[in-house]
Amino acid sequence: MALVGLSRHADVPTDVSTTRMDLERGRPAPVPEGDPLLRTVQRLTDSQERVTEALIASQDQLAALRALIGVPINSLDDNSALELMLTEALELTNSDGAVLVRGGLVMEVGAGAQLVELRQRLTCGKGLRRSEPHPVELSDGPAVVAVLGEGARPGCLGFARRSGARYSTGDLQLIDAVVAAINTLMSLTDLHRRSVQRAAIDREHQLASNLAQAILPTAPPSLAGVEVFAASIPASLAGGDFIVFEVLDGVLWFAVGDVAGKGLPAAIVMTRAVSATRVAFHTHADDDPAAALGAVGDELFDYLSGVGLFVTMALGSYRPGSGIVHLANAGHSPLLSVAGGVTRVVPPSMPPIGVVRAIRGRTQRLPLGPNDLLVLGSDGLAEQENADGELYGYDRLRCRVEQWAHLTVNELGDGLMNDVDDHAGGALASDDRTLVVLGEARVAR
Amino acid sequence: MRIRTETGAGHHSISLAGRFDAHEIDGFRVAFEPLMSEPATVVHVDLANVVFVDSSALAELLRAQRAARESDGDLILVNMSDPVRIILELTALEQVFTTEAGANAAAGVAADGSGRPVETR
Repeated sequence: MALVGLSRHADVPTDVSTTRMDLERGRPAPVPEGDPLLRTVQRLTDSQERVTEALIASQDQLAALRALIGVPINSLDDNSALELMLTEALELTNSDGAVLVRGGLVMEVGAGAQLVELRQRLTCGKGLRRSEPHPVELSDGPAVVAVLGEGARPGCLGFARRSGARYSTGDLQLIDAVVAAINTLMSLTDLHRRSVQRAAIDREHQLASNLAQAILPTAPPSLAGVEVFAASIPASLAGGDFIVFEVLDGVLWFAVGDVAGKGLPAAIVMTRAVSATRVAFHTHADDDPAAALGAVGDELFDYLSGVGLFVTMALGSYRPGSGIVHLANAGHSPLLSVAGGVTRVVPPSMPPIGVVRAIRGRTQRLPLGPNDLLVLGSDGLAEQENADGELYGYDRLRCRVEQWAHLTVNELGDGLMNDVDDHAGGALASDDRTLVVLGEARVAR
Repeated sequence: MRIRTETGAGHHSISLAGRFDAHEIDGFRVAFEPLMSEPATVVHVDLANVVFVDSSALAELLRAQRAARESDGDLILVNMSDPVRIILELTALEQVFTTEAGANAAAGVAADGSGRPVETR
């Protein structure tokens, strides 16, 4: 357009058509010396070309920036996404190579001898005068270095050119944008890594909890002449409450226990208590559960003492038709005997296991005839709170047992568990809840 | 739970008020452990205002008792509230702890005149 205008000028030289043709071919024609008009045309043309080149470069940088922030980090592993970002950043910053150092990671993209020197500077922190991107001089050319990230896992980043122009202020701003993009990527990566680690821990916790709970019986034992209700609900994935049954030579052995504490740590101790209890069942006379309970205490004392925990536990045996339950109680509650229409608390005869070494309790003989019951719970029943913080309580439990003593053991067991649940009214379980009810086999009471 | 620590020459006491359960163990430990810096230390734990105690708290009291006895000292439970007394009876732990009914154990501080109460929570 400028040339069209020129053609109307009064001083248009005779060779202007040649000049126009040469310019259109992209080859500026030699300017006749002393012709001010042609020199002006030449300056304007040069300026236009520079602007055009700058615009093209700007468009290229914009495209590179888009490519940089559009790196599909979701579909790549952490290092691949980072490497792709650095590759895009090379084009964006017109660099020949880049080095990223973070923790044990050293990543290089591009090529050139200057990368070795740049890596050495970054790994030893040399040349990092401040956190924002700033130029440094390498033996083979200019470079820019910057600090990446903050907090526990900082790093650093450098770009280098083999030779030629130093990094301009505009380049530094672009590199600042690159640093921001890489920081974002690293933050996302760290978040993702932590999330994966948490998920792995959760999975392991769940698996360990399932394994611990798997040691508990899934159904009450089947033995002619006796009815058994059994339920154990941990407050979380796993708990310290436990039930153990074994039928040996027509005798039902049973134990109900509670490891102090909650959750998986208590559950781990619980599995060991269950194993020791099973061994004790097999190695003691059924009329002497106190000796069996003492043996469990001997087996577990050092272990429990070492971890600072104790186990409350009631252990007993019942031969159907005998009318007598033999029972030993190491600090366990609630424990209720309903006999002859009278309900009474079965007191402990020794402290919990793990508190006093080599202590022996005594065996109690409790009647279990027709219409009699033995109720063994855990403190999670009595200590269940409602939304107002009111406990279910030992007295209420005893009242319910007296009130429902005419029911079958299953009806009584279900009724008590539901009653505690109703009391909670949706409040979280305060503790594990465990209940065992024993009675002579009959249809109704 | 509120924890109030009082120390004086040869006398230490910790008064607890509120619920003493698994969530309060760390607070109790922070109050108790510094008292064990010297041998033969006797610590009175005043439980008059404890409204609830669970098995985790009992285990913590047993741990503290063992630590005190290992250095020729003791942990003495005083002024037990009804909820605490009932739980100790149900678990037969009343025969394991040293207990005192007296009310002055936790209050008789400062034989050297310097024992000031410190409320930690």
